[in-house]
Amino acid sequence: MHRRAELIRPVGLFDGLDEQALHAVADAAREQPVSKGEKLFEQGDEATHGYAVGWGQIRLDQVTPDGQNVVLRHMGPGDMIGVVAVLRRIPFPATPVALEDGMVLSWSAGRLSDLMERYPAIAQNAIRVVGGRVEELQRRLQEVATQRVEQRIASALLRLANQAGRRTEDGIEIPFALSRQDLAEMTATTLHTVSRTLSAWDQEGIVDSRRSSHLVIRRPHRLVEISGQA
Amino acid sequence: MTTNFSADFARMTVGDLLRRWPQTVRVFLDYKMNCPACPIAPFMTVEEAAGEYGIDAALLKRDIARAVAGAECVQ
Repeated sequence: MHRRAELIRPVGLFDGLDEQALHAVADAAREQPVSKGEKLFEQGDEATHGYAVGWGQIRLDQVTPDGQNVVLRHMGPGDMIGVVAVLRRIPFPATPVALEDGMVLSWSAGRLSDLMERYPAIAQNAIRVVGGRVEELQRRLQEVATQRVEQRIASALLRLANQAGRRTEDGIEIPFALSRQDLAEMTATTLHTVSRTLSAWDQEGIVDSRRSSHLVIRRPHRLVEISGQA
Repeated sequence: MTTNFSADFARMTVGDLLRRWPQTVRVFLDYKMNCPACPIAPFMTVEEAAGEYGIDAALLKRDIARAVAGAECVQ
């Protein structure tokens, strides 16, 4: 019980609650272990419960109407999942997948609204937390809207090269398996677009993405030009 | 002394050079080269960078050597 109160202390939704309130919130929570790969719920499910991550990492996936998977964000301890859907009484808009074994706390929709009535600070916190998410999405939208997709893919490869690249005879090698799907999800584009772009760059000798699972940037300066940084 | 510097610069990466002698940032900027802000500077030699920008590598290395020598004299 006391441990559970400690787990919810970093949750933004419960900021500024006094000890008595924090314990009431903890008391109303249910602990739920999650194993690696497990889905907390499915996109489209009725939002019967709101969740907070106790420990472990969770990835939030969303499938678009045409079947593309988009990684919305990664969540860690203290992050809330699904609370907005509960408050708005809409189906869950995304699917949380556990990236490792962990534990989440959950509250039923009824319990959450009871708690908000008793502790108005929770409702104020909810506005702040949701506002923060909107800002984050606006930033990403700005990137997506203002940079051409080639620029975004070039920037992502250069970031990876700068962080982890190895100089080899052929160019700068990204020393781990990087799938086209990974790149698509990093740059908010489709697998098809990444494939088409990399194929063109393969032909122009800018990268070598075919010879091994480790991509090699053969003409790094050209990539810098494409990214708009030169 | 200066010629030895130049020979070293040919093999050194631009990233190492900029880290070791930050006063050379000015030289690159004067040549309109964006190396000081570039994510791949740690992977390019001075000669490769000069080649990419179509700049005479000998001139660039001379000016880098001057910037480095100037700083060493002050110290």
